[in-house]
Amino acid sequence: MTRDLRNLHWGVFRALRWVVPVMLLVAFSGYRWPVSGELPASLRQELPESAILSSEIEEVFDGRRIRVQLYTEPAGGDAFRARRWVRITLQEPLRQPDVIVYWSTRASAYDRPPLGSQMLGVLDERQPAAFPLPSQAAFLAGRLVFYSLGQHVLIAQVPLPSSI
Amino acid sequence: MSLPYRPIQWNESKVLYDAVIAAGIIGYLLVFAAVSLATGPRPDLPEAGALLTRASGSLAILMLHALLAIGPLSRLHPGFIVLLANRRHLGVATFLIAGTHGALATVLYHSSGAMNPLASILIGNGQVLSPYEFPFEVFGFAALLILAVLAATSHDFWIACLGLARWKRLHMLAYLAYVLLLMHTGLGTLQSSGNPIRALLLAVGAALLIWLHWKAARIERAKDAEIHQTDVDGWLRVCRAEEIPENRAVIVNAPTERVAVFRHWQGVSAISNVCAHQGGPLGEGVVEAGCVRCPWHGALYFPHTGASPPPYPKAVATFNLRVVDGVLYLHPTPNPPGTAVEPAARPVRRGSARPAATAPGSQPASGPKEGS
Repeated sequence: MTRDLRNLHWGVFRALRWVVPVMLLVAFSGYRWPVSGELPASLRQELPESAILSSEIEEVFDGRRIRVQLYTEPAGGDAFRARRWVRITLQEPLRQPDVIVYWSTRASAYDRPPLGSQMLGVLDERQPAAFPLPSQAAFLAGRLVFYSLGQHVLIAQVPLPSSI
Repeated sequence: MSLPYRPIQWNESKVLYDAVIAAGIIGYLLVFAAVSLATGPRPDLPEAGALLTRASGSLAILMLHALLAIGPLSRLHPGFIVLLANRRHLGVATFLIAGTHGALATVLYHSSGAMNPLASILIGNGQVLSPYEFPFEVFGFAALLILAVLAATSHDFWIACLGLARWKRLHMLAYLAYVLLLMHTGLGTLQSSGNPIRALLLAVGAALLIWLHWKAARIERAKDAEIHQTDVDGWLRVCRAEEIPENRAVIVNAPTERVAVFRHWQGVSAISNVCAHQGGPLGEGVVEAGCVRCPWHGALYFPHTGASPPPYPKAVATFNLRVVDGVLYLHPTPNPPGTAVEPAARPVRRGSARPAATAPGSQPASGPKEGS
């Protein structure tokens, strides 16, 4: 009786001796190692020094405070050509990973950015991120949409005032 | 006929064993919470739930590693047998912790939608082609079901009810549960993209556990491969009686199963090496107060009958022995459990010039020749 069980045990672990390391190797080869906190330079945008702070909004989502500062980059007195920027500062890290910021004129009723949203960039949780807004933002009221690519959830929507 | 169900028969060692398990669980949870609080922000209520989910999950996989390591460690070093004695208590505790993890995860991640939580676990995520989105909870759920069956049958009642062989086979499903939990934990870690230390610890744990089992299995297989010499009548040559240490046994590899040949105060007796309680190796036990004591759980058997002393109903098979020219020979056909066999090679009586007679009729005219 126990000899049969010993043989079964031996067979099981003879198989596992190969199966488990292969499983672990496959898992490690596909493992998404944590990336550096620094965003690549190609994804970082600097707020122009000439930009002037026009308004500031502070919102609390899911217990996390987000500060959004609106800047205007003057274009010789032409309000339509003035470029608008947002500077986003997270007071505390968000719970959700891989946050993408969109600008949209419509609110989202679903757990994804609304149709027609324009992607501004990737949110860096460790330092303030600055993004130029689309030109329509100069005359259309829109909103910032924060979406977690890691968890496929909409985190927050922050309405922005139109400057005109 | 019905089998009586007896509650746990507590004794000092069981109380101590369970106290150590409880202290270990509480200690682990406290350390986990302290480290999490020291290295992260102060959690709110949902985060505290998630923290407890992670703590119970990691504890369950740690306990399962410990649980599955006890068997091979006991085969490799007798010092670990003390852990084996109440291993089922650790098994039930592991299931309870894994169940806590499963319940918390279900409430936190599967109960706030419109779908039934159970349906949400099983069919809520159809991303079966992507390792980054695969519904790893299904593996955990399947493993938990297996652990539930094993925990529910971790009682002598079920050994008696199912029979030792069937019960042992059933409890080998623990290896399947382990592989499922490896996939559950591995995929969960892969998808979280968190600290790689968790993934590395899991890999090291799995490698160690499989190495231990493989090593123990190889040793046992080598022992099984040792064939004892036989004569033409099929009797197996054992050794000279005086070569067996007093109150100890040598283990003979009979064609069907191992046999323990004990030397005790009445002579030499052979019984099955497989304890009727949980299959412990009786030949590694000792004779105490006239009874063979199983090294695993202390079950007792008379060496010449294979029966447990009253009121215990267990019995193991006995085997016939005979002596030819001072050498012990064993017939590999087992007698029914509990069959009395006169001890062979009875010791010299005080005042007698000759050894006592061997078992009546045990020295046939055509007995095996020494060394045959």
